[in-house]
Amino acid sequence: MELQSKQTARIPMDDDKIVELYWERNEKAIEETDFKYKKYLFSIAYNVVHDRLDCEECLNDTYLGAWNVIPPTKPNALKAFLTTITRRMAIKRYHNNLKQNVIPSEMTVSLSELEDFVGGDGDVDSDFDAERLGGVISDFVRSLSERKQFIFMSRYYVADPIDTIASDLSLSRSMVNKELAAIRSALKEKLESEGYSI
Amino acid sequence: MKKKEWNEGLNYLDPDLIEKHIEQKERLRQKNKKPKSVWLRFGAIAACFLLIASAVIAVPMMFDSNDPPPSFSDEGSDQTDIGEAIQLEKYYDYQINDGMFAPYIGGKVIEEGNVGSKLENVVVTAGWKNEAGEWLTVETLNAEVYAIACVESDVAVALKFIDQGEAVTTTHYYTLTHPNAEYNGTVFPDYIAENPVRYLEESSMGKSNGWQDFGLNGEIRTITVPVGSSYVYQMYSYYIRNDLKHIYWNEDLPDTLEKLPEWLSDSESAGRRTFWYSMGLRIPVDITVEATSEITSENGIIKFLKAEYTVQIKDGLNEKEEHWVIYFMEEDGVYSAYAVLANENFDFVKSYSESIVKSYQNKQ
Repeated sequence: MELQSKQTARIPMDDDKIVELYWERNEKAIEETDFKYKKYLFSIAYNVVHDRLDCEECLNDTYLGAWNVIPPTKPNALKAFLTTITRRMAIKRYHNNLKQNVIPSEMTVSLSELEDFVGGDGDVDSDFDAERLGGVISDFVRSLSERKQFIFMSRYYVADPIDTIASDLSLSRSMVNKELAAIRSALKEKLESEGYSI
Repeated sequence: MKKKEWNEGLNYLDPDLIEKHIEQKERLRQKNKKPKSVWLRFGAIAACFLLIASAVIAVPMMFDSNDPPPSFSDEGSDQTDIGEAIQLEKYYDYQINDGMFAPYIGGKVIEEGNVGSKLENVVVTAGWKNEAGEWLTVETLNAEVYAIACVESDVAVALKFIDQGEAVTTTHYYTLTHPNAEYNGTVFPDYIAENPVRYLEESSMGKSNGWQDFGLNGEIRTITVPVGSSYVYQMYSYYIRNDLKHIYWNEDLPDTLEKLPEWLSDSESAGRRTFWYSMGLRIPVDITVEATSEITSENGIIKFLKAEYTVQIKDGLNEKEEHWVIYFMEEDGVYSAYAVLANENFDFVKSYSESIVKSYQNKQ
């Protein structure tokens, strides 16, 4: 499902209308999604997989995924909904690629920052409860200040480079690094208290 | 913890946090667009002169009907704490001072083609509010209230300012909606929880709503990937409404199933089109019952009332015609509907959906 954005001046469609097109099973939904969000979703995927072709495939998987789940799903926030799908697709591809070689992506760097408590490239243990961990991380993020929440999400969810985060917040790189160090320290404590082995 | 486990955990991050992050990022991006250097500021000022000169001609052409009219702004561009930046956000609001439209809430700009006759002159309080909804500045403006085509004025009206406000024009029509208006304020039932035909499934994409429909072999059929893989399903959108009382909880439904198709086509009675609104979030302008007939399931037990509809939908300035076939059913005094919107060949969709309905035997 290869789609190209049209180069003519064009106003992005409202999310509600795009979702409506999905519900009508109108393929224009994918075209409009691609036009409005391609650049953004591409950046999400690129931070993880660091490969243009892989990103293209992640985007196509994202559109197909959205097509398959809308309806019956009716996302209230389309951008966040697409972000979730793209990230999942990219992470899946990242771990598949990782089996073959090291990927020089921002995701690799951001994961290496967590090496105090995240390490090993093996598969998920059979008794591992991802939903529970998701809940613990969510609680942790909510406990942070607004700025730290933004930094955590930028660095460890979408794997934004530190320079980008610094620029977003009009902070210096060193200030962002300092904040990240504080976040990691608190996160380590939280995970330990929840029984996660370090 | 392994890297893969960490990432799997992040896949289950609360969606609210993801939405919040996206909103924060967009706000920061907007804020960071402000020119910072003296030279950039100078350039911006020069550009402003050009912009003002051209705005008189260009703005009415550029103004997109989907843009919300009240401006959002943030102050303190030097603030670095995102929490502080968010707290300083302000927005422009307006409210009619007296009369029946006083409680109405401002909304988006509406195209002139959708505006009807003038209803009255009003005085409006407008100005900037902080995040808590408190007025920061106030201006008093004269304005006119207009009807909106196909919308009753106790639901929504259009407002045109006579006096120029700080962040509204005198050339556009702004919608004003009753906060508890029939359509605007309607909270539709959670069909995931309340409709037993639908269910929550877990797939590789995470949790989503799955579907069950009338099975070809007599059972309720489970569709894990509801559409997309089958061209047939692309030919129509379908909606199952298991208990119409969920939609018309405050109204008496007709006492017999035979009266239901006409009852649902009454676009003049307030609230009657809610059923249609629940299927695609659009309110039809006109609904016509073209034909009705009774069909029986192949096992001879369940009787359905089939109704074919032509429905006029107004989408902006464009009006379009839709064809629906709806199978109504009554079980223990509860009315259900299996509604099919034909996107392509109506006769094919009808015969296909009818074969599904005939195979219906019982609910699980």
